[in-house]
Amino acid sequence: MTADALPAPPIRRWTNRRALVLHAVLAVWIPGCALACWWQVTVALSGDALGWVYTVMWPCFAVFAIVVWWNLIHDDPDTVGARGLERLRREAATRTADGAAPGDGAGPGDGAGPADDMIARAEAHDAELAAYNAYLADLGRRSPAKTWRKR
Amino acid sequence: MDRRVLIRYRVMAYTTAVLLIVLVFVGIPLQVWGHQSIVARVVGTIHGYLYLVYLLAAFDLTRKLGVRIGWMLLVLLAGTVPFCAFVAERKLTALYNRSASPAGPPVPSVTGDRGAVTGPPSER
Repeated sequence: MTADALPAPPIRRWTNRRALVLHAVLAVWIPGCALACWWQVTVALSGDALGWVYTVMWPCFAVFAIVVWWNLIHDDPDTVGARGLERLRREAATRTADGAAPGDGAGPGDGAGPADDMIARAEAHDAELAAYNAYLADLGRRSPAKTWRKR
Repeated sequence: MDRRVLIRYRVMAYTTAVLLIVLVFVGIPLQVWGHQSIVARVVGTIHGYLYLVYLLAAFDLTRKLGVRIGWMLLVLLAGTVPFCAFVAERKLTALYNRSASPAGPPVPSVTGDRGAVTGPPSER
């Protein structure tokens, strides 16, 4: 496998530029929510019952920000949603242009798309993963088709 | 992408946008000049909690559409500025329609059964 020649994948999930911006936004937002919540407590205690409504709401905003932050940190922008679909389309287009018929049992390593590169790199650094993938591929080759549709 | 994600967002965008207009152009003037704060208090509370639902729906949609983070934050904030949610809703719906029917070739499915899951949602 040629994967040995490839460099290790540069995954810096918590320290890339995008992640640092997200940390900064969260670091401002959470204390902001705490302050606003406390302010509303004082409003409520001074006699305006509407303050309790917002006392509950500001922590909700803080929790929502944490959910957003966590999801965005763990998203690879190129694999989620419409952009991921776009990438798959590009890969399929290049694979078809290369002459290989798409989807006719092309195993990992046959294609030259970014996804195959990622798999090859990950396998190069993880013998257990490579063995497991080989095992799955072997199962896939040997087991009969689990569908009654025409292939 | 699941069209229900878009529908959820659109429903929440219209709901919060209409409530916010009522709050800002009816509730606040009544409170300030009419000394009748009941409209502002009721509508403000409802808008506040529905805005939370709007945030969830908007985050779900923008994330699945692959919108950049800056634009995502603007869409989330659009629920707090009168009329802005209408604009955001139009832009995102247009973006969804563009991404649902691209000019590129279809994605082959794993079984080689072409076109099974690759058509735009309108054709399914």
